Amino acid sequence: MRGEQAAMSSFYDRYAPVVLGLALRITREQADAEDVVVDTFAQVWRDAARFREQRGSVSAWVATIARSRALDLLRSRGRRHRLDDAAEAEAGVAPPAMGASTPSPMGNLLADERTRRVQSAMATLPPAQRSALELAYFDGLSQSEIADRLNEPLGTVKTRMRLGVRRLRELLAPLGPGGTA
Amino acid sequence: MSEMPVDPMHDLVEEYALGILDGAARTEFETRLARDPVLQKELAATMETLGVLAFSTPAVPTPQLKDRVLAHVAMTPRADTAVLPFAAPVRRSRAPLWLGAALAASLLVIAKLWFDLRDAQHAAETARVAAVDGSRALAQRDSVIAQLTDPAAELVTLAATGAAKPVIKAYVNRTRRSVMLSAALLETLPAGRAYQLWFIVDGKPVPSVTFKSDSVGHALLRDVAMPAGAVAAAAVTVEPEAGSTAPTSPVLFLGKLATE
Repeated sequence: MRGEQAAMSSFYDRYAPVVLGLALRITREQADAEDVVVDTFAQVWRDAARFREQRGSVSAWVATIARSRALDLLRSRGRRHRLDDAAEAEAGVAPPAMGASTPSPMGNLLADERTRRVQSAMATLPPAQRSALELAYFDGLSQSEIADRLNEPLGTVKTRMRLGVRRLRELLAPLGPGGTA
Repeated sequence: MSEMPVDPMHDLVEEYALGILDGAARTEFETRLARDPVLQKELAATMETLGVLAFSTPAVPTPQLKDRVLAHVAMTPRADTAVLPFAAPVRRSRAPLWLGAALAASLLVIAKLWFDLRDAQHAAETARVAAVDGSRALAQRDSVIAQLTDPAAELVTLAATGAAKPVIKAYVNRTRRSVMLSAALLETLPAGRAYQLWFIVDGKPVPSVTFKSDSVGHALLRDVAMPAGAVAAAAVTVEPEAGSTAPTSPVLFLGKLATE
C-alpha cells in the first residue's frame, strides 16, 4: 500500500464518524451525507499542504470543511429544513444522527468522552441560545433567517448566538484541540 | 462598569466563524482580520469551539464508504498536474527514430519519477497533518488505552451512597499499583472544596488525590498511585482543596475491590 493511502486510511478511521455524523445532521439524508464524506476527505487530501497548525487544530479544520461541503450540498439542492426542525431543536431534542452512535472500543474512549461532553455542554445552554446556535451551525441559516423562524428581533438573535458561542468556549475549553480535560 | 471591547469587529467573530457574515461587513472584517492578531486569535478560538460541535452526533460509516473515499482520493486530480515537466509542446525534429524512441522512454521515466515525487510530497503532507493532530492527543490516548487494556485492570464502580445520580468508575491495576478514575455528573463544588479519593487499607482510609469536576460534571484522573498494602475499597469524600489526612465529611462514593 502506498504511503499516502496508509496515512489517509488512518486519518479516515479517526474522523469519518465525526464527518458522517455532522453531514447527517445537516443533510438528513444518508446518501447525501456519504457524498459529503467523500468530498470532505478529497478536499483534505487536496489541501493538506495548506493546513497550518498555528491557525487551529486538525479536527476544527476537518469539521469546517465537512460543514461547508454539507451546507453547499443543501443549498445546491434548494433544501432547507422545515420549521418543525427548529421547534425540535428549541425543545432540546437533537435530531437523530440516523447512523448508530459511535461504538465504544477502547480506542474510541476519548472520542466518546468528547462527544458526551459536547452534548452535555450544549444541554447546559439556555434553550433560546442553543436553538439559535444550532440553526446557524447545522442549518446554515443567517441571523435574519433565524430571527424570522423564531419570530424574534434580529438583535436578540445576534446576542443569543454570541452569548451561546462564548459560553460554549468556556464550557469546552478544557477539551482543547483534540484532547480531554 | 463593563469592560466589553468597544471594537465592533470583535462582535462579528461568531458570525464570521459560522460563515453567515456577508457583504460589506464580511469584507471589512477580513480586511481587519489580516492585520489584527488579537482578532485572529479570537477567531481561531471560536473556530475551535464550533469545530468541537461536530463531535456531538457521530455516526458509524459503512465499510463500503471507506472503500469509496479511498478510491476517490486515489483518483483526485491535484492542481499541480497542469505543470507537468513535459507539458510544453514538443517540437518536431529531424533526429532519427531511435533517438525519438529513446527520448520518449526517458520522458516516461521522468514523468513516473515526477509523479512518485508528487505522491511522496503529498503523502508527507497528509502524514504531517495526521501527525500534528495525533501528537496532541496521542500521549493521553495511549495512556488511557494502556490502562484500560492491561489484562491486570479491574473495573470497580464507586456507587453514590446517596440518591444522587453521579457515578465514578475506577480502573484498578494492582500489578502497576495504579488507578484510572472516570467520573460523570458530579456536582460542582464551592470554592475551596474538592473531591478527595481514599483507599481503604486495613480498615483505615489512606488519603489520595483531590480533584474537581469540570463545568459539565466530568473528571478524568490517570495514573493515580495506589498505596502499599491490601486495598479493600476506594471512596470519595469532599474535603478542603488542599486535601485532608483523614476524612472530614461523609463518604459520597464507595466501591469495593476484589480481595487481593
